[in-house]
Order: sequence, then structure tokens, then C-alpha cells
Amino acid sequence: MAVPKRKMSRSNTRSRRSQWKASAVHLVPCANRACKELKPQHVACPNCGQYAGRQVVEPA
Amino acid sequence: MPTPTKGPRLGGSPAHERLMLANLATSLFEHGKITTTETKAKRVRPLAEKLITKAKRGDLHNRRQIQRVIRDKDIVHKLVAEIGPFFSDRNGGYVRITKTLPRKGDNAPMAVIELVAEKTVTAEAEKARGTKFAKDAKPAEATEAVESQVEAEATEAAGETTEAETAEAAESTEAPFDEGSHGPLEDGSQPEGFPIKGNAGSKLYHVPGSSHYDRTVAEVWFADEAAAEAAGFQLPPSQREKAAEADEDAATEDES
Repeated sequence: MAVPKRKMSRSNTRSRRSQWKASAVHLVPCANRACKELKPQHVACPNCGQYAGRQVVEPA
Repeated sequence: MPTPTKGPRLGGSPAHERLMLANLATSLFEHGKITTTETKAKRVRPLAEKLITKAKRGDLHNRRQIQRVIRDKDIVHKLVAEIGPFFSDRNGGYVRITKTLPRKGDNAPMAVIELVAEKTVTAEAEKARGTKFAKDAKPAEATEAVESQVEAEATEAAGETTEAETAEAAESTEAPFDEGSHGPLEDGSQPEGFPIKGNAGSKLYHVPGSSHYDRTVAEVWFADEAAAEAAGFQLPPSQREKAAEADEDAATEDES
């Protein structure tokens, strides 16, 4: 089985991990004019529970 | 030939997947609306729609076909007796999936899957045919209304002209329509006892305190709403409902 010959330096480890990035969630305002809360796209609004003018889920 | 489902089954084995989908479909028909993961919702939708198609046929063979999936006979009866006939006017698309927020805990994408409760637009239109709102009956009513309106206007116009002549002879600020109306004063102020503004162009009248009252330049003044109505003027469309409600309230009070 292949095994590492050398200890990975702290610098190399940290350089590699510096590329791990989180991206912001894409949010859009709710289409319900009474709500306008920011929510993920194509998802029933967690604030008012509506999607495309229909009540889909109970508002939280 | 239908394309075989590729990749791993839900739950690990084909038997487990069949059972899970059957249980999901049973719950969907029992409750009409269930919350599950998006993947399961997408996999149960074709199964549920095929079952509804069989339920629409509803004969013994199709009932047995349904019973191969749904083992609860109460649900099978509900499917054949209620859900199938409800979708008789809809050709497919019986089930709707709406995505919701991911689940707390494992962040699995979740969805609500439900039987479509609305009737189709064409079905609504078919139902409306023959009622008083029907398209065919409308032109006759409309023409009648137009005719009556034209007549009313003609009579009004005649009255106006004659009255206008007499008014011009006497004074230009006299009543242009009927009793309870008053022509505009030269300085644009309100004639005493005639608080309601009328717009002769739009045939609308505005009561004091309404939203357009201050903006309206009165071409005619009315003593009260009844006089304005009598002259063929109407409330602005935005205020008609309120007025109707108020009238109803007044009527109920009168009855009581």
C-alpha cells in the first residue's frame, strides 16, 4: 500500500485549505407582495408559506 | 419500451424501493398532501399518476391492478370512488410537487407532493356555460343595457338642451340635469347645499371625503347621492363595493 514518504508541512496544508470557500446562497424576494421576504429560488416561502400564489405549507 | 431506472434504488434494494413507493403513494391518496424528500417525491409521482389513471377506468381489472400496489382496501375504494372521478376532466398532471426548505438535521432537499385540487380552466368554462355569466347570453344583455343607456342619455341630453336653453336664458349656473343638481360656479367653489361633485365626462360622482374628491373639477354639483344616481352618474369603481356593503348593512338594519 502506498504511504506518504514525508510529513505534509503546515504551510502546504494551509495553502490547500485556503481554497475551501463557501458561496452565498442565492436569495430572491418572495413573489407574495404582502411578504417580500428573501427566500431561496423555486422554493415555497418559509415566511408566508406561499408558492406561485398558492398556500403550500403552514407559515413558520 | 420504458427506460429502466438506472443507479441505486431508494432504500438499497428493489424490493425496499417498491415498498417505500407503495407506502408513499398510499399516504398521498389517504391525506391528499404529504411532505417528503424531493427525490422520493419525484419517484412517487409517476407511480401515483399511473394509479389514478387506472382508478379513472375503475373496472375490476384496474382495481386489481391498483391493489397490487396499494394494499389498504379503504384507500383503494377512496381512489376509485372519489379521486378517479374528480380527475375525469384532467388528462394527466394529477399530482403537484412544490419544493420547500431543506430538512433540519441532514439538510436533505424536501418537497410537498399533493393531489391537484383545482379544476381545469376548460372545466370551469364548461360549467359556467348556461349560467347568467355565460358568454352567449352576454351580448343580448349588453346590447339591452347599451340601448337603455343610450335612451337614458338621449332623454337626458334632450332635457339638458332644453334646460340649458332655459338656463342660459335665465342664468348659466342653474340645474343642468334634474332636481338636486347645480351647475358650476364661476370661481369653482361649492354651491351651497350641493356638496357632491360630478364629472360629466366620466359620468362619475364623488362624495366629500372620498379619495378623488379634492382632485375632481366639478362640472356639475349634486345635493345628494340619490340625485346623482338619478342623473345617471355612478360612484367610482373603487368605491362601489363599499357603498354596496353599506347599503346592505343599512337594509339589514332596516329589517331588524
